Amino acid sequence: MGAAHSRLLPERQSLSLTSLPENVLMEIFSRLPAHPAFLRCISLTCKEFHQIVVNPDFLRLFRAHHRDTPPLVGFIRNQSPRFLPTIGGAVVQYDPDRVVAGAGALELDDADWIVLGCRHGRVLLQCPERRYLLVVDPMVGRREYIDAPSWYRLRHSSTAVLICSPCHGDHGDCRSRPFRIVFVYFSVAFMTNISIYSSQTDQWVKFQTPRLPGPLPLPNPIDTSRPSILIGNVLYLFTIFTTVLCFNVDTQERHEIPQPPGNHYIERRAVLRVNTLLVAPRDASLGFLSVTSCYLKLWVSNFADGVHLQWTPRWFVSLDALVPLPEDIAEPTQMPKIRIIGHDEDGNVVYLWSLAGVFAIHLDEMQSHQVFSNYQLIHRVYPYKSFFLPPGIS
Amino acid sequence: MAAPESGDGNNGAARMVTLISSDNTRFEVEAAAASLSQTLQLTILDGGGGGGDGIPLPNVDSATLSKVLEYCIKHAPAAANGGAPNATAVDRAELERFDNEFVNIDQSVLYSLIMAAHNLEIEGLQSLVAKKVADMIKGKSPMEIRRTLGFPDPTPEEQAEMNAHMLEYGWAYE
Repeated sequence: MGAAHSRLLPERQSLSLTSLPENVLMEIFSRLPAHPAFLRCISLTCKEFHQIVVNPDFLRLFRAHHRDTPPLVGFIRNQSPRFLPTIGGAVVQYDPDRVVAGAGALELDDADWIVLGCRHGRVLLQCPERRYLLVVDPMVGRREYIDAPSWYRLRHSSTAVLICSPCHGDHGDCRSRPFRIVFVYFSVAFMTNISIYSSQTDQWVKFQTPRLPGPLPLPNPIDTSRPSILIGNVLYLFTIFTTVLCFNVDTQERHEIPQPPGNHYIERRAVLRVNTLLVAPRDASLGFLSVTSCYLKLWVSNFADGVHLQWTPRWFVSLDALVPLPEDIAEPTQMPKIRIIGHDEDGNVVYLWSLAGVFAIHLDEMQSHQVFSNYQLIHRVYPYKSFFLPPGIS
Repeated sequence: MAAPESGDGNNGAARMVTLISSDNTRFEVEAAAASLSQTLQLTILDGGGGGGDGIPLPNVDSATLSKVLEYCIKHAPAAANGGAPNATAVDRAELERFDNEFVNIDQSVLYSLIMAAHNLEIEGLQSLVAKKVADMIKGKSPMEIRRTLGFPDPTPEEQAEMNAHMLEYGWAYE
């Protein structure tokens, strides 16, 4: 402190930002917006600033200032360009001359690998022939290749979900912690098989399907094309029928619950399958969102003692209150004029494509904003959220 | 104003304290305003600063101190209300207007202020100035930040080092 005090005494005119003590500079930098582009610019300004923003104490302070909620950095997708940078929640043009205006471009070497999802700063990809998985932390350039379980036959349909290990509440630092991969596939006889990989043991563990008596084998095969959701330590996955598979990743207990009535493609064509989504409302254990050209409808699951009892309609909102739609939208058809293309589980934000562009719908706040004004962005996007992480931080 | 009486202290006679800057200028100010400083609050609670004694502040010059006190006097009534739960929107808007204008000053003064706020532990002022400085640099490229802060242009060595850092950041920030 002595040195800091003496700086104040002489001519005030000579005081500059670099002459302030480190904790005061930390205080200043922690008030920059959460988007990592801002701290990156600070770190490139001079050596003194760089030392501050790579300091783990500072990074903790910074995250705390932003309530440990990492900002959206961009969307990862399976089409070119594979990364769409965002600032303030909206897609921006990548411009190498304006470091802040364009957050950058994702350049995966594995261009034909398929993105399966993102969680807490990591991205999970699968190679086209499904033999390998890849976990990338694009912010620090870390990548880990993992063989699919040896008992998996490539002709079987599969999907995989990246989860933290163990499940925990604070995700500020969890990307440096071990992870798990839940690998789900179904074999002949439509049996859903689940295996879990742990980065700590570098091993897969197989969980046998319990064979139940009766004419129909249970559980139902899961729908690998639709996103799952992890709430606490339970992974919820759509099956190809009218149920949701609930799988506890810690106890491996699993059971199925029905989907809310009237939302199923096979029963009625009221809602297209692509426009239903499992969500995690802030004040409920599990939610089910369905979107048509006219409305959004949320159901919540009533749980008692960890057992799903029934679905209760929570709200029903006219779509034009949230998304400005072209006039000619009417009855749902085979090709939806509105579709869910992305989901941010932690933020409870759903991304909707429409002819008017892509909109983010904040389901807890019932607010929406435009993310992208072009209707050409119709394929699935994976929101990628991260705080600033200097390279080499483990 | 929400409560004109509270600004004058209890029973109309506010307790005053004297603060002495590093260049020996004496400032007489209400105890309530000076108590925005966590550091001074302890001294004042102990009965210090009254009468002819005064509290010496060897780290704060008179120009900075008068600015600090301007902030404290303005914010004291709201602070006395315990964060002003019953402040009206008008009061809050007025404080916000004051704050915005207050930090619209030279950089060197800002830095003196944040140092004084830091040493005197005036949380609101620290936060206000930190936010202002952050706003000055946010959205600028590293070179623009250097210019904004009046740094000399980087030497070739520094430039090379910056470029090397750039590369380290991988894809995310090209």
